[in-house]
Amino acid sequence: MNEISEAITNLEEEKVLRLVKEKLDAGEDPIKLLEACRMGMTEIGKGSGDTVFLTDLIMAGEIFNEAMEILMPKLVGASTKSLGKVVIGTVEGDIHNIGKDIAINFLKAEGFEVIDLGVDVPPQKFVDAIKEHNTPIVGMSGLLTLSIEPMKKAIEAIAAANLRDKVKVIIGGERTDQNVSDYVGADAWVNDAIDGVKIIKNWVGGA
Amino acid sequence: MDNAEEIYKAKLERLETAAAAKEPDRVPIAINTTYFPAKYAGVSYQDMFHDNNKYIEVMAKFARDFNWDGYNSLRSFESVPIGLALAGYDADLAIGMAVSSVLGGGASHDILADVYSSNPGRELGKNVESQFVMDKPVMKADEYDSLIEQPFEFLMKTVVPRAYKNLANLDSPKGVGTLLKMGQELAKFPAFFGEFVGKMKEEAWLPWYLALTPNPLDFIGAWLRDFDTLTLDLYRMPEKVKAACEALTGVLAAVGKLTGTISRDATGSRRVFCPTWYNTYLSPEQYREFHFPYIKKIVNELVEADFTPLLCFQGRMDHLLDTLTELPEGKVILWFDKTDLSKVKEVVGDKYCIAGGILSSLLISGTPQQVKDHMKETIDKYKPGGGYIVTTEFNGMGDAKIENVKAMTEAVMEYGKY
Ligand code: B12
Repeated sequence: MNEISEAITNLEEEKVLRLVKEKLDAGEDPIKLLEACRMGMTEIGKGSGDTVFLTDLIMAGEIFNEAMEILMPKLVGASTKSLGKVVIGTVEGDIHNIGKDIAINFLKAEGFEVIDLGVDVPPQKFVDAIKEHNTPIVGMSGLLTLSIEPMKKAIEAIAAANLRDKVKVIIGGERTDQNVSDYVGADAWVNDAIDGVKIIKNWVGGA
Repeated sequence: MDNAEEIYKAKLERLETAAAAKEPDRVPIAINTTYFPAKYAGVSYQDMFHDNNKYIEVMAKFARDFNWDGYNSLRSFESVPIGLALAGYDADLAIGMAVSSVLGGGASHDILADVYSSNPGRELGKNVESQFVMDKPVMKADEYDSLIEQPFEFLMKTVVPRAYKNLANLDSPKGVGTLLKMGQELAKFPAFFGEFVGKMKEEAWLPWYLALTPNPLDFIGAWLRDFDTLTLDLYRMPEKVKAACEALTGVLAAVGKLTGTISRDATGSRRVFCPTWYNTYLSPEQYREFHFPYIKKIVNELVEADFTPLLCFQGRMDHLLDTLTELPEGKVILWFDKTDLSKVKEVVGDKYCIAGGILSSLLISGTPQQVKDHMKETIDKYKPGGGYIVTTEFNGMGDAKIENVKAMTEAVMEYGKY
């Protein structure tokens, strides 16, 4: 692992940002720097649930995004690898975004293109996003008991638009379990973002 | 209800015996429900939230029909920061202000125009549950020093004007007028509270809890900084976060004791609800550094004053279980939702009372038979030796099927007897 990856894994915010700037100024390839950031994220994700906790994942996501802000302008037009597109949102009536955002940050770090619909997302918005972006994967987050029905409705709306067999649906968030997954008709459920990323990678054959 | 007094006493004793980690006559069931009683009674959420008579009416009906050992639906929390800001000036006024939203419903929201809550019939549809969501943090990252040095002054002068739109300018006609309106509202409270408690006694309806206090870290997360920004503070300015927790511990313990006294005198319940939220996010080291020391201090103060802290560990606690046995044995209730209860039991044995056992997801998606089977299995597992209370997660029951709630209740009566 290089210096940047290691600093991300150690959650050394200032060091990561300093290194990224220094190396860019020194003329290093921004794609290589991006890869280093991604590697750091993958590495820290490996400890999730064991030696790495939610606060660590949130902080890692923050550092990753800050680094991306520095790198993005230099990456315009560059061809970076993409594992495909994923649409994600927190379902209608629910505004909890922290779990969803952790999942998004780690999906991005793995090389997915994420279309983030935000929170309180009505069923139709999922349908529209799938059509517009032609995404094979939909992620829904829900932390409230009250989010179970909206998840079900969103999946029903996808089916009503004849898109159900074109997409895989993964649900996550505190309130999800096997019962909920069966009830709403999802393809998979997770209580851990890193597990979710693994499942999604599997689906696109990138595991 | 006939024999209300006797039934009330029996419930009180049942819950206290379980809390002491002993065997009562039956496993108690005690639940916090939010708007489920309105749905049950066919009343709109809007009415339950804004109309105090309807509020008491739907809860009384629910209490009568389900007859649980403990039950309550608290309404909102938006007046907590301004209540706390007053704590150094006049304790009674501070508590009155803080509980005005918790028990009093929509009036304080309408008068203060807070940035915290959205409510049925106002920002939300008539039958949508209240939501507590801060638009953006009302305290900035560079303001910790002010909070630490003069918490009450900081809360009143800096947080209050940002948290309540109608108090944006405290020395304007609108600001003063808003405070006067709040005063008029608070003056109505004792009569409402008297009626409320009278109804409880009439229906043998014991609150699961009526008193409450948050801990410092969660207070900062929920009312001042927001949960994700506070997480970043833990890495960027750990010493300041700790000093702020230190500065708030005393006053939050006092809030617990004061609300505890009101609850004890009015209802006999010594339980003080102590919700914990951050546990879900923190590493074991962080928990021991930023969260648990202050929780423990508050718990110990409450126990010393003869109250029973009802610790509601929301979300996940599985990685922090070793801290539980540092709490006073037989003096606290440990309430869990997502955490694996059987692991908890392994750790605390028969020395502590635990509460939990069913999640609302089953009450929503299951059938009555599934609920009943689940309850039988759960009760068989945790009943032996006492110290077990059946409950579901805080604030979770909204979409539950009525027949499943009935099945859960019947199962407790059927399988819970000692
Ligand atoms: C923080 C928080 C809030 C914050 C939210 C801040 C924010 N920006 O998100 C605020 C204060 C705004 C809030 C508001 C409310 N909350 Co809240 N909140 C919490 C709290 C403390 C933590 C939630 C959290 O972030 N967990 C951490 C995340 C990271 O975990 P997670 O969601 O499981 O996510 C992980 C995985 O599941 C996965 N994942 C998540 N989503 C997805 C999606 C995909 C596709 C994938 C692959 C993976 C994935 O990745 C994550 C990382 O591993 C919990 C209690 C607790 N301690 O758990 C209550 C809790 C979730 N809230 C609750 C409630 C009731 C509310 C309110 C209704 C309160 C009220 N009465 O006003 C409002 C509702 C607002 C609304 N309409 O949504 C309840 C839900 C109860 C229930 N059973 O329904 C809880 C459990 C607390 C409680 N018992 O009261 N809340």
